[in-house]
Amino acid sequence: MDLSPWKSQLRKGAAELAVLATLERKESYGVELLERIQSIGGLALSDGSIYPLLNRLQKDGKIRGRWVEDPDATHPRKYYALTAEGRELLAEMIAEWARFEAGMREVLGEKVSDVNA
Amino acid sequence: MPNTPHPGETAPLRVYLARLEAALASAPAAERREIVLETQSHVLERVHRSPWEPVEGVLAELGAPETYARQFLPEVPSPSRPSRPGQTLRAVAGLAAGGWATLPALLVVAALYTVAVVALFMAAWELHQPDTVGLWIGMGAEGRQVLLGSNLSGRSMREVLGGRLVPLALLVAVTVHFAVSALLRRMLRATPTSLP
Repeated sequence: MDLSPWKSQLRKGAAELAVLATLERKESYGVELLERIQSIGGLALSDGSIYPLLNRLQKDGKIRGRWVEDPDATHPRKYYALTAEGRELLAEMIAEWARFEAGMREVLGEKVSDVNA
Repeated sequence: MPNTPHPGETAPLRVYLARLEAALASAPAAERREIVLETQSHVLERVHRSPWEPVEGVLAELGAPETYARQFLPEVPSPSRPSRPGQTLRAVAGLAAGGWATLPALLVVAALYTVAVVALFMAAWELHQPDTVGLWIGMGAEGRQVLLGSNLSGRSMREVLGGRLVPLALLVAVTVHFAVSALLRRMLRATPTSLP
């Protein structure tokens, strides 16, 4: 059975949370964020989808970007960091995620532990 | 803020960025510039980290510039937006940025538009001096002769089109315009690597 549309919907919602949570730990630029998030299994965030997401978060005032000329790079990089509003959003999203996860665990019951075992 | 172009830029990247900028025409100028600069920075970063990976591969990961650009723009209810003035010009500029790779396409566009301009010029001339321009047919020493344009040589030839030249010329010009628009749309829809 083709799970791709469902998986893509699932990841779309999680991508925003993953980006905000990663930026809370450290100010980062696009490729750095991608590599950190892509290295975690199951969270496939594509090169083509992260920049529109960052663009929207910046327009909404959740993150802010600044251009930095790093000595180890031949080109300028755009670093992003959370704004106060972004931190608030992240806290709310984490709380919502925890409720969602708890609810799903209850619905799926031992099925999830079977997969993990 | 960094300036464009970057010395590490290659022709495929230049074409991609030009097409991206054209596709973002409806976005505010400052935002458009940021998106183009960040895309450039992304590609240079990927190539910097994996020098063995071709630029075309990095660009393919982003998707076709028009598809990629759409993700930055607010949702448009109808997929067929009316074309804005200057869109063709921007598309041609995008092709011109491709250097030699896109030269054949530019030459075809230039040749077609030359035909259209000549046709319109003849139509205007027909309205101004109807007896001096048209499709001329005559019998010369070498046999049957046909001449399109102005019979300035004074040869004894008969003009056969008359006033029909004007609608015919307009038809040619309009056909050329639509043919070029369709050609550019097809080329812009293609991925950067499949450009001629």
